[in-house]
Amino acid sequence: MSQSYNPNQDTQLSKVEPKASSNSTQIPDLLKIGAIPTDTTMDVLTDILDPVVQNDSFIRFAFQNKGILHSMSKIKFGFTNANQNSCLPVNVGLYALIQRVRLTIGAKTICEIDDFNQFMAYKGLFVSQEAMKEREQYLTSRVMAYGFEYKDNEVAAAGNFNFGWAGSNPNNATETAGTMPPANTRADSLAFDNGWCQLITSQQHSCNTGGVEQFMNKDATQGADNGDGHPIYKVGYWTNLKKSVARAVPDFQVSIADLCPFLRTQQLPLYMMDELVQLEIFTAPQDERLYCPGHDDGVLVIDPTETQLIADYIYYPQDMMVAYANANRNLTFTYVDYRLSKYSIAGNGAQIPTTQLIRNIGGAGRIITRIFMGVQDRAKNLRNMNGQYRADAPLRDYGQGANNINNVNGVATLNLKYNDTFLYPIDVDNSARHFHNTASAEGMTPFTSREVFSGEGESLSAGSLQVASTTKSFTGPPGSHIATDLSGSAFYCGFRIGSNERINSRGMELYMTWSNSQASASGYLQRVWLETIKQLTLENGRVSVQFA
Amino acid sequence: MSNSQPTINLEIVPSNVASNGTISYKNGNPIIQFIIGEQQRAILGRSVRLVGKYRVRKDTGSAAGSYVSLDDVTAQSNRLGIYSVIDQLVIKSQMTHQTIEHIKHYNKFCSSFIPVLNSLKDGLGHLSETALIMPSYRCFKKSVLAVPSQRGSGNSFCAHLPCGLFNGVQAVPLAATKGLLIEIHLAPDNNVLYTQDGSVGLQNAYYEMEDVRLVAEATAMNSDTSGTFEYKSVSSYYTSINSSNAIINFNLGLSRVLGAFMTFLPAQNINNLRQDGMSTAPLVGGTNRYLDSDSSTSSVANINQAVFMKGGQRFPLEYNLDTLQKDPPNIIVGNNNQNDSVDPALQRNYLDAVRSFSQIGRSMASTNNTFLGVPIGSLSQDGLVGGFDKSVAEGGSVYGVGVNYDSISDEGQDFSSENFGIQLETGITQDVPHAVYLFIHAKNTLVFNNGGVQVVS
Repeated sequence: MSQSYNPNQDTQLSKVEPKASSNSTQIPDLLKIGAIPTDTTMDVLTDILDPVVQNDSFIRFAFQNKGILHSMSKIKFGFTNANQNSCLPVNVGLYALIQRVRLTIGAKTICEIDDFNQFMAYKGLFVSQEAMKEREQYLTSRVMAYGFEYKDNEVAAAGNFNFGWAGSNPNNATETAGTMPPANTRADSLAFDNGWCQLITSQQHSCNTGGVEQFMNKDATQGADNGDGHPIYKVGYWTNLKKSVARAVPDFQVSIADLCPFLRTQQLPLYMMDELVQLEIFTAPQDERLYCPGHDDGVLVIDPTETQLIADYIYYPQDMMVAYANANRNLTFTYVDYRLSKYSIAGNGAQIPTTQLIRNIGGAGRIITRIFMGVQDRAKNLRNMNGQYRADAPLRDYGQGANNINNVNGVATLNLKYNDTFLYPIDVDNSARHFHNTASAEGMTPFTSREVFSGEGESLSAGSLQVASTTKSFTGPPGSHIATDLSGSAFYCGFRIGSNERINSRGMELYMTWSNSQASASGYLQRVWLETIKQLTLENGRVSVQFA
Repeated sequence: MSNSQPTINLEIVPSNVASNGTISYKNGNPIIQFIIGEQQRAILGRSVRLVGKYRVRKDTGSAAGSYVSLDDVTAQSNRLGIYSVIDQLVIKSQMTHQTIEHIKHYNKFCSSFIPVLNSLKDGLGHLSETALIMPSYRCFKKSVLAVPSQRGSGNSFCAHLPCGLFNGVQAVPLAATKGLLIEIHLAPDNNVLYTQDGSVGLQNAYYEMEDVRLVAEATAMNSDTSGTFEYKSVSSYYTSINSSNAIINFNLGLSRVLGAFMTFLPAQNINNLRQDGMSTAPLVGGTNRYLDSDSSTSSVANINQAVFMKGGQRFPLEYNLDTLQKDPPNIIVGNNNQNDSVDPALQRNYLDAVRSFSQIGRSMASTNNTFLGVPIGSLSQDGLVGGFDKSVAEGGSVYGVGVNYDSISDEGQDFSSENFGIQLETGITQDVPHAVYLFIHAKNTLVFNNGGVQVVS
């Protein structure tokens, strides 16, 4: 089993179970993951495939028509040495590279997702923080795990603290007048928890890095001994895309089940197909692939020699595979695909209108099981730790002074109309309920925090997230600030459409009112994905596909 | 494809909402009542959510000082969030008022249920959005109590109401139950709020909610005119102990008991503005270690032995559960050389009672917040007993005693004719009465017909 298999997605509510329409009761369903008896002999053959077409904007792989394609087969990407200290955007990681993905069988499109990197910014919310910390930062360079920013002893009466946690044991710290309690349970904020200790600030704390004393909070705008009072967080140095030697630039990988989500529950019987099966990847522009703090000129170029598909082909005993093929000469299964509807809702330099926006998002005549949406500030770029892969929450206003009645949270009022009825009896304007509706739509809660989702509450650290420099030293270029970049950056709202309803010819209409937004130099873009049901038929080795 | 019944979203407003739209215990709205009428639909219990906005005020004035500031003393349980304001959850048949489930001390139930079944990252993650939980006292205060928008738009919440009926997989047929009447009894302000440093204050402080709703998904269901419906429920019991040989005995009257768990709290902490009434701390009143400057009352009291009884016989553990703290070798009293780790068997059985241990995938309980050597001595909370939220990381102490009666058949044990009992050998040597909150997880059957409904426990 692949290491990037996401156990959290096991419990997703699947309203449509892909299934073979005809098979003998004596023959197990070889294509359905989990349906094979445990005592069945299974062989896995691994091929390392190079792309049949590759340039920096397009990659195509062709599978061999043999065995059953393992859904957790991997695609590995490598890069040439980046021109700036940078890493992949922390919330989407390697998926930032992929703008569009398409699976074709015999030139017929089976599955296609546009703005795939934005799509994965949403899907990434459903990977647990524990998995992010322990697995994803190595596989895909995603780092969305949060932890408390514990304050240790106060180093001076000026309110400056050492950071880090010494534990609840009173023997771990000494008590000094005016300092924190010995059990330093005080945490003012949330910050990244990627296994790296945050760096200490405020005073001249230093660390010996190969004979050179370096100030930990060295900031280009500040003196070497004068920090900003906030800790510094770093992504793992191995994720830095600029290395002193090119061969040290990291590789990362994605699974084909991530690229084509229906493969999570269904495997492709390549040995039963007579047509060419191809996977096409359209890549994002070079400056939209990375987080490059402090620079606008960062670019990331794919190293074509590193791009490989590690294809696992599954084999069962020959008589079983032949019997299955004979019993399923006409094989039909249903699966999900995603349709993107996007629309510019604010032009350059403009705010999102505060009047109600009603937009037809399509879906007419289709069976739609869920939709999800986000509004992106297009001015966000590679200087932000999550790049442009975000969904901005309505702007809050906390700047009116302490306890002022005009300090308010932003409010998004949403509803969905289809088949002449509204999904919710009253328009939803409570951000926590938007969160719940999203969890309900996906069958799993988003693993993110309140301020990151809706921008409510002040919980995120004012510290910065740096990319480690070319050496393993603790210094690097100034990072982007966590609270600034992440607050209200994951406001993806989902809608569960009850029980696989077919949408009438009018389609679906999204009703949206945004209370406030920041004027964006590049405007705002609204993206809506519709999860549709499609039906694939494999008959005598030939595939046909249609909407269900 | 479209063979299943469509679900619809229900949004229920309270039937007793005040004219100004705000609800608070202080201003005379201690009960929030929701009525879901009898209909040919079934409620999906896991979709039920209490929705609204929440804020804490220091008094009824409109000046800035009437609201919480980051550096004042106002505090609230950080790992319970919105759950700390719910004192009782009552679910009745709307037509007959037959009680289907009634959880008293609901916030205390949640103080076991939430940390045992949610990880620390769940607490600071999705539970911060839905239930205003943030398992660190200072971060909670910064992001919830003293949030800049507290006076303007408050804190949005959309919290599940964990209970037997709503946690079940089976949808609740509204025709069978003759509708539902859901009552939420709010907790007194002085059991929800407390002063962080143990000082006197907050006499006029209170919490309030507005825009309160109950939302749920329902699906069409044609119910028979008579039949049965099985569900699980949580029952609560209260007693107190103040002895080195504490005996707890109840006639439960339940025939299918799945598990029992209890938490402790010095009784003086209840409804006390100087104390956290929601903590689930170890027993105090012992003599070996000091929890604060007042050594006469606040030393941790170990549980040295636990014996679970049914009808006077040891059951389900057919032995005495002797803990690490019982007769430790080479102990020097007062020299702080005991094993301060929580007893793993005691803790394991406690977690197992809340949910089968093998099914607990995520939990906040860790060595950091089950540590018995709680370092209180030098805190600014001098004089407090059990003010553990500030001195224990990761949401505060997760401590309790419990036992699972059935993790295999899911049919439970019959306590309808035999008493339930627990015998604890404790280290309590001082006069410190402890409140004991006991929760029983049991299976029930709702029998319904044209004449009404009846609960068979």
